[in-house]
Amino acid sequence: MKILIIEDEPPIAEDIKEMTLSVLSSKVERIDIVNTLFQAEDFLRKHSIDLCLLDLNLKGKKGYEILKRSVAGSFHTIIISAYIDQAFEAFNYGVLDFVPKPVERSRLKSSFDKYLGVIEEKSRCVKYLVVRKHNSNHLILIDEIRYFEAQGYVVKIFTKDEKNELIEKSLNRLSQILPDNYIRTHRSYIVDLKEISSYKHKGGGVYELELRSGEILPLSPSVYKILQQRADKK
Amino acid sequence: MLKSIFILFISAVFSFAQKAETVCNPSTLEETHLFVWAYNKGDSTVWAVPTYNDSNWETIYKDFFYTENEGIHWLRTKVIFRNGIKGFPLILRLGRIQSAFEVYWNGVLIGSNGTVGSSKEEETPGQLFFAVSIDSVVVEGENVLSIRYSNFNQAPPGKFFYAKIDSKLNTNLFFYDLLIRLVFNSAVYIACAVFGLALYFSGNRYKNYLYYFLLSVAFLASTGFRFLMHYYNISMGMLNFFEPIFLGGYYIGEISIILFILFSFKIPHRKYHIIIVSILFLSVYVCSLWFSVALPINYEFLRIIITPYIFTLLIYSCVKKKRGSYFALAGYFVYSLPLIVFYYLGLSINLEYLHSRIVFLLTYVMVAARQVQEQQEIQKTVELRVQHLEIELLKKTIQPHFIMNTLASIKSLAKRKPEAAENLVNALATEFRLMNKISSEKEIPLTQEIELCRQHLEVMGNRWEGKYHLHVENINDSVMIPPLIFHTLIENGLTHAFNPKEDGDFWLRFEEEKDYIKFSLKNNGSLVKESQIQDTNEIEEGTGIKYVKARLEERYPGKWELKYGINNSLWEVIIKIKKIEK
Repeated sequence: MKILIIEDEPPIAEDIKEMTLSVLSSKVERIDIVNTLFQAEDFLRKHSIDLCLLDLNLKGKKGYEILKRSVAGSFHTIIISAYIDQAFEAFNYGVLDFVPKPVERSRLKSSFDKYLGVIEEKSRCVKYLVVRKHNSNHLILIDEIRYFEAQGYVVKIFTKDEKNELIEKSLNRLSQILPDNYIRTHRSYIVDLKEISSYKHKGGGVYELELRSGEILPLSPSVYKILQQRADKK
Repeated sequence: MLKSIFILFISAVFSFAQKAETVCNPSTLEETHLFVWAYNKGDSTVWAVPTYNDSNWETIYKDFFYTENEGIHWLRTKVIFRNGIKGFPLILRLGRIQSAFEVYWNGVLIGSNGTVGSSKEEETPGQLFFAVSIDSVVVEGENVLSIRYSNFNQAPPGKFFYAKIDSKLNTNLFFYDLLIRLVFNSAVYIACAVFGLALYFSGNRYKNYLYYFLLSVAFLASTGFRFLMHYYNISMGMLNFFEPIFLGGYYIGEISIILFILFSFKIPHRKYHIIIVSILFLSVYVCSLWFSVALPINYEFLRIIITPYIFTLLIYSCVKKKRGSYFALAGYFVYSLPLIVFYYLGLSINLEYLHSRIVFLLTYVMVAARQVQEQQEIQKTVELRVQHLEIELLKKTIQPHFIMNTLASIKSLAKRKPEAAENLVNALATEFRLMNKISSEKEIPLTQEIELCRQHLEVMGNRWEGKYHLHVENINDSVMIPPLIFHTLIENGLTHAFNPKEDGDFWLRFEEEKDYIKFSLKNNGSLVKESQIQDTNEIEEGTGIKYVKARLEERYPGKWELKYGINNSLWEVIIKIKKIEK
């Protein structure tokens, strides 16, 4: 696990680093600290990371740009901030968690657990996904998204208005922050339940999902069973 | 019966004994009104004779004269010329004497208006206004003017009339005079009407402005109509048709005055006032129809009743210290002056009285202006209060995120660098103590502020692992400033100009010029050089700068200036404050 701490106060950064190491111990492959956003930009160009611990003050335009830049990355973002009134806003942008300052060890641990999938708690109120396009950040309303399809290292987002976008986050990471109505229907797909019109077993281990739009997507057998169980319950 | 009481009332109000004579002084003559007359019903040729003894005739006043019965009547008065009569053309003007009349000067018939008759058929009504030269008949000393008239063609059979002597040789001059007054008055009325309307639509639509507009329009209408009546010199037979229209303006004017006062000064129980006034106006109007009493008399009667009432309202407003109430009282006094005083002095209400209306309207412009001023003041107070609240909100005493971040730092330092943690705690304590002490002050010595800034730099130095210095120049104890200004600017400077772990310097310089004082605060943050400061400007215009500006405006309203920018690769903030004149 590769972690980057973006924190302008060196003592605090050190403290977070120390706590992270003590909580995650051997899981940490690499941990770095940068003090400024310029250093962070530079670092992210050269290295790939899994998790970013970002100290953030959302006051002013710049705070939002930083937040968007961070959540648009392939990695997850956990906000560490003294501005606790901004937590709600941060969640809108799809951050994995928000940890108030001064950081408590136990609170940090539960954040990491969330990252590792030890606890399955959905992020509460993500409203937008941020995608990076031509070096700037674009917001996509979650409600506009019909399904996601993994395409190599990136994920394609299929929206209602057909303006499809690419996002760097993996399907695994997306499923950690998306609302409950988005389910992983297949190794390569996350679909909005509301968009599904039917699903069937074609025989020979082939399962299919039909969307309202008429598109046919592959369906994994295990999800097929879950969907059937749900239907029976109703 | 009621009618007699009504007339009795009017006579009682104006019961003053005066002889039926008027003194004319041609050397100063502009116009002399013949106010007091002797009156008798009936007809006799002897009554035109100057020496006839009319001492047993009824004494009447032209503005309150009331001829009850149809028939032939006589009026007599003495006109005394004292200081010579030569060299002045003298015109006798008579108006509204119903319906037809003959004029005798010292027993000589000098003119007639229509044909006097003993029945409606025999009589031919004359015109509204009549003028005749008296140059050939007038003598030095005592003259006797007798008027024989009949009133069959005009109902109701009772009118005030006017009678005066002036030197305006021809009718054109008379009308020219009238026209100038009309144009002048109309201009004022129109201006006032527009003003009232503008105030109504531009402001919060306060009704009183609308009443002011109505009042101006009513005055304008009645003045215009009065002029038309003069100009076309309508037949006496038509007076009954035109008079109500002409007087309608006066009635509406009076009602508007009352409404204006009620709403302008927010008189309590307005609703009841309006009901009572409405009943009064209505009953007077009904009285007019019922008893066939002349409208002009009723108008004056109405004013006699409502004048004390309006004075009561205005005095009440003055006592309650309502804005503009003194103007309103003075203006209304002038307006009522003709009514109160001129009658008693025997002067006419005719044209002079328009000037009092103008004075009245203009003073009420002042009333409106005072009220607009009051509204603006209220608004300004509200704005100031809001601004003050904003400052309170912005007050940067102890912000939670500052504490939280500092605690996070202390927590970490306590483990790794206990000495730094101790320094931080000490500096933080000092900073809080100082802040508590000064934040509620309006002004503090600059030296105290500098001490606070240094403590803050100490705190931040420990948090950011940098060394910060504040160098001061030309500072002495006598310089006073509102608190937390430089503290805020330094805080801003640290956030936006410096990277962590980087040392930095701040320079604060004070200069005193002839008419202003100047503070300059510079820093050498690395982000300034990299010109990355440009896009942080937007952030800087946020709470920090807003707070500083609000503080300066609160303490030195309109007398300060704040500039910032890059100067020799240093970030510089300059504050100039104009010296307050002593």
